[in-house]
Amino acid sequence: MKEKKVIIIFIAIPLIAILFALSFILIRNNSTSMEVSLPFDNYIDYPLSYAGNSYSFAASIISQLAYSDTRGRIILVNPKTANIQLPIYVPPTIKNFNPQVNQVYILSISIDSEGKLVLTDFKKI
Amino acid sequence: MKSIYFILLTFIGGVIFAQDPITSVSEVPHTPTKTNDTNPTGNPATTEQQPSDKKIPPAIPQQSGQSLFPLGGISSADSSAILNMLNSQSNLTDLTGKKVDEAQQRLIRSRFEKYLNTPPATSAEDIAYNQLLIDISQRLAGKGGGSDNERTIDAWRMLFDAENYPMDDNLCRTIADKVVNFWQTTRKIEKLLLQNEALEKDRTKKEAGIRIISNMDRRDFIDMMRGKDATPPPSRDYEMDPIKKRIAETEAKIQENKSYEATSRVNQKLDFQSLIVQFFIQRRYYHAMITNDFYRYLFAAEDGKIEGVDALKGEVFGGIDIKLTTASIDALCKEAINDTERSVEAVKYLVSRGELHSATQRLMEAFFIGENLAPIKTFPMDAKREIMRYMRDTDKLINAVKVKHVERAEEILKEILTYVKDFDTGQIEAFIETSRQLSNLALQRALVSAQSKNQQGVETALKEAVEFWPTNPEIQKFLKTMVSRLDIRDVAVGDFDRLLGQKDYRGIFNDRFRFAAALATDDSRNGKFLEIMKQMEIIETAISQAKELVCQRNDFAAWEIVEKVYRQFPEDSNLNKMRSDLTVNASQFASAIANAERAAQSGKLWPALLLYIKAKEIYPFSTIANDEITIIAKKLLGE
Repeated sequence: MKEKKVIIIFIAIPLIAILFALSFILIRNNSTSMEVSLPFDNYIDYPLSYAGNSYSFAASIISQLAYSDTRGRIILVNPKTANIQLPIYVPPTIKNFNPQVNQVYILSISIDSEGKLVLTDFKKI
Repeated sequence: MKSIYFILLTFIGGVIFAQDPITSVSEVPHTPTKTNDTNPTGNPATTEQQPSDKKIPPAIPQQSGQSLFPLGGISSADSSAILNMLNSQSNLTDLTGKKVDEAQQRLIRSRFEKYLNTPPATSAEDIAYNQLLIDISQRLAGKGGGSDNERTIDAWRMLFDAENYPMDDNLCRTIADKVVNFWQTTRKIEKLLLQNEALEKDRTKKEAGIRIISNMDRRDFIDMMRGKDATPPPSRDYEMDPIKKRIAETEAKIQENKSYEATSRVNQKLDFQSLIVQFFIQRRYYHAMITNDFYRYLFAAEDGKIEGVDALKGEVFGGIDIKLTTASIDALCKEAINDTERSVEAVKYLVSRGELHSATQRLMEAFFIGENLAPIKTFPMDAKREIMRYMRDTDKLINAVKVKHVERAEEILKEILTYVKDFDTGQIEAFIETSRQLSNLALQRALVSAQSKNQQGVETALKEAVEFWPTNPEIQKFLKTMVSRLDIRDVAVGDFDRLLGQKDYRGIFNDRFRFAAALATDDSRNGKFLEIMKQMEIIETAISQAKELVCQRNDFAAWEIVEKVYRQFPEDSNLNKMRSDLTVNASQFASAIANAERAAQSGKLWPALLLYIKAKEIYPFSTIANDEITIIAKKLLGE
């Protein structure tokens, strides 16, 4: 009886481990499919094609291109997953956003009707 | 003596160079009377007259007339004198004192040049042949003794030895044949004389028979008159008629034989005389003398007067009533031989002294007289070459003078003077100096005319200047000066307006110094000109910088510099070309900028911003991209 318990334990442990792994992968896949990354190169050439979409990606701050007290600012960032530079419009409604060069943020953006990348949310990493 | 020389010279000059001696010799023995009897003009052979009778083309005037061409600043007579001085053959004269015409001069010249380029005939064969001719002549003159017949036969045999030499051209054989012909004719005449003697005897017998018959008739008639029978006896004429007929035949035969003797003697005599004259004309003096000696032996005690050459005599001796005999021909031959020998000696001396001008003329004269004589044929080759060199240089000088190439004439003259000591430079130097002075004077007149704006005067004076000295360097200088003085401003203004109208600023820039000078006082155009120069300075600077950057393999920067200037001055061809070349090398960057510009122009500011940023990533130092990024970013924020 005791030997039977041991065998069950030896079989159960790997199975449980496999089940955990599978569940982790499945969870992982499910979450990726929900947040599709922005195809940066294609976006640069055809920005209007992505109007209405929302994306979130990590990026480091390069510089600020323009600033207006009333109309917000345009910053230049470098997405972590691509070796390009992207301008992002930061509307004045976004509060507490104090970007500095080389800081890394997870930026949530939406693309408006002009193809503009509009910051909707951010999280500093 | 000198007169004989000239007679010889002119006498031969009319005939020698008109025909080839070999062909003429071969023809003469067969038609001996032709040379003397059939030419009414007095020239000894039908072919001799050809050169003098030859029609000279109208484009080539006679030497004695006007010059072929006007030498600048020199009268036609003077120019003719210069050329005559240079032409060695031009001093040869004809019988009447006129110079030998050009056609004949050319023949003489070509024959003389051929002689100068022929090696001397100094082989053993040549020497032996020359000696043999002398021996034949001396044997006939009595050397070696013996009777006339013996000497004649010996000399006749020696003729067959001489004919074996190629340089004899079978002339001795011709003489020998004539002698044989004489002997054969003489033998025939002797037979005819014997025949005549027999015929005369026969005629005497027949005449005696007639006399007997006549006497019988006469006696019968007397008896009839004395007798009773008055009936006259019949005549014996029937017996005499055949005899009379035979006597008439005999008489005719005798007369025929006598006539043959007389005519054949005359013909033989004329044959010999013609041969003598022919050899003399052909300057075969030894042959003429040998034939003459044979003549004297064969026609001993006969008149030596040469018949049938009256016209020729008149041509040679003019109005002098002189008897042309075999003896006078003999004397002329000896004179020619001696004169040739002396002339050749003189030529050798002159060549050794470097006096080639005189040497050339003396040798040509000697050659003219004694072409076939040993002194001429054995004249040394080195001296011939010296003379040939001088003649060629004088030919060059003549050509230079003819075309009035003063510099060339001067150069050749210097060359001639390096080796010719007796060349008279006076006339040539005068020609050169006169041509120069007259040409320069004409140019001065042209300048004065130009200053007074007399276009016709300028043209006339220039034409004169060119005529006097076509290669005058001052003519070119004058033309350049005139062009620059008269037209520089007008032409420059016209060119500027044209280029400005075409917006060819590059053309204006390329000729900027001319325009700057011409437009300095032109207020209406100078401002525009300076503006164009500033513009071109920017373009040129950009092009220089771009070239430097290309050298550093920085095509993006080079393209951007050119592109920025191109946007200001798109008309410049050089800039355009360079932009095109660089666009190929920096196509990625250029394409990004172009796309960004198009987006910006169509109001799509955000896409334009994206594309400028993309361009900046390609070339981070792009001023166009950086500037446009800043501008568009501000525009996007409504500033």
